[in-house]
Amino acid sequence: MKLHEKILTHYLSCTSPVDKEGYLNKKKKRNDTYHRRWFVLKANLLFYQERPADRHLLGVIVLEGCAVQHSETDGHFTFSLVFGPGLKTYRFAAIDRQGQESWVKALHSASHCYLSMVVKDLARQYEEAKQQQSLGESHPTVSALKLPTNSFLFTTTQQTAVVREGRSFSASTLLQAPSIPAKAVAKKSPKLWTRRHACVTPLNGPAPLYGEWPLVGFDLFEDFSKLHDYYGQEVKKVREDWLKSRQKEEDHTDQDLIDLG
Amino acid sequence: MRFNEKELVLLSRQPSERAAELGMRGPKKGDVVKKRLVKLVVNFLFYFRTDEEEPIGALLLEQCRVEREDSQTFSIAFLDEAERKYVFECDTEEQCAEWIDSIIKASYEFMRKNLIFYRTEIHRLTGKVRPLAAARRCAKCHTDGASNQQRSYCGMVTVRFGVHIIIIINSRQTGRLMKGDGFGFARQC
Repeated sequence: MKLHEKILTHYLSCTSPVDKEGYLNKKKKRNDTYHRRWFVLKANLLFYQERPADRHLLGVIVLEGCAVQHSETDGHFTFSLVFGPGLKTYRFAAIDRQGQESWVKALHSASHCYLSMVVKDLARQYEEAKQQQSLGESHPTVSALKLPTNSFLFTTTQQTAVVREGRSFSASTLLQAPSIPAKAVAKKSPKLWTRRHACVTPLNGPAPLYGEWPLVGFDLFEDFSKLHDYYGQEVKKVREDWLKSRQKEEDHTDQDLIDLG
Repeated sequence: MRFNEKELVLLSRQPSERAAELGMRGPKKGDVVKKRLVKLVVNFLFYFRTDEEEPIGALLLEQCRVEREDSQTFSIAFLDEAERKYVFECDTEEQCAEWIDSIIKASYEFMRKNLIFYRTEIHRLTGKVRPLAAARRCAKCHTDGASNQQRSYCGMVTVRFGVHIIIIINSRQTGRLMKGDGFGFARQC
């Protein structure tokens, strides 16, 4: 299979952030000896060369489908990248414990799958946070909230999809994460929650620890918006007043944030 | 340049949401359109001869420019060489739009920007510096994991080996997620 190397080397040399770089000892398969190499971790790619200044890249390891493991049996400060039965295992030795730990951390969170999962989760949290805000806010501030999103979209449009004779696909739809339909398919009517009045948590405070949520038949991720709706209805008025007074404070900081890109 | 070819070929065989037979033309003058099975997996675009198991090649979708050429055709240009582009012909306008969208979103750098954006916005909306500190559950299999307040994620890749590894993470300014206190521990999922 042909891996278009020029694309990879170009990516390595471009201005996007390097996630980690440094010397590591890489074990050679054949004779079990270690060779010192300069490693550069960028995205889900681990490049290596003899020295930092070298133009010639010795190789690259695509970090998808592998596990990072401490492997003290190999020696001091050793760790490995294990792809699975029948596949490669890359073995490394760091210079000290700190190096070993930091490389293991970095490699562990390097995969595309991992990042994708985290971003999805943050997107969900973002939607929830937006919902919380918009429930208590007056109209003008809701539109103010949307402006940072549009500014960021604009930045993305400039960097990725380029307008070509006006027919190019714009990236403007990309960041419109699907909003969680707050009123959609109510499997349980809010009335069912009346028994749990004692569990009313202050909306203004931090989310309670997981163990404190009503547990019976409650799935944090699916029913959160319903539960939130219910509590939100109850204290909506108080929250409106509180937010109005806070909004006056925050107005000037909002201005700065809108000016993204 | 050496690379983990076998592992990359295996990656190309993973299920993908975006795989189709498209007409593909290379960047060089004289390259003609050929029917290829084009498959998007993570930030790589693999292309196969129809009915072959091993891909002919893999294109890394970073630092590239995706453009619409006409209603059913899109192109990808690499290396800042605007005129050297790979051209892909789709069957419908809709398919073309979907491919462009998927390719742009597949880029690691794009996801990184999203991450920073969401964290900034969550902080602005809720005042939480560490938005990941909300629950103590594994986001994948919903088991209670961490002994501290940080959210735990399972390393999906390690489920293959029959062991569910729970990783405790926290967030940093660069958007790169690093481990928090206590590394992680292996447990049956």
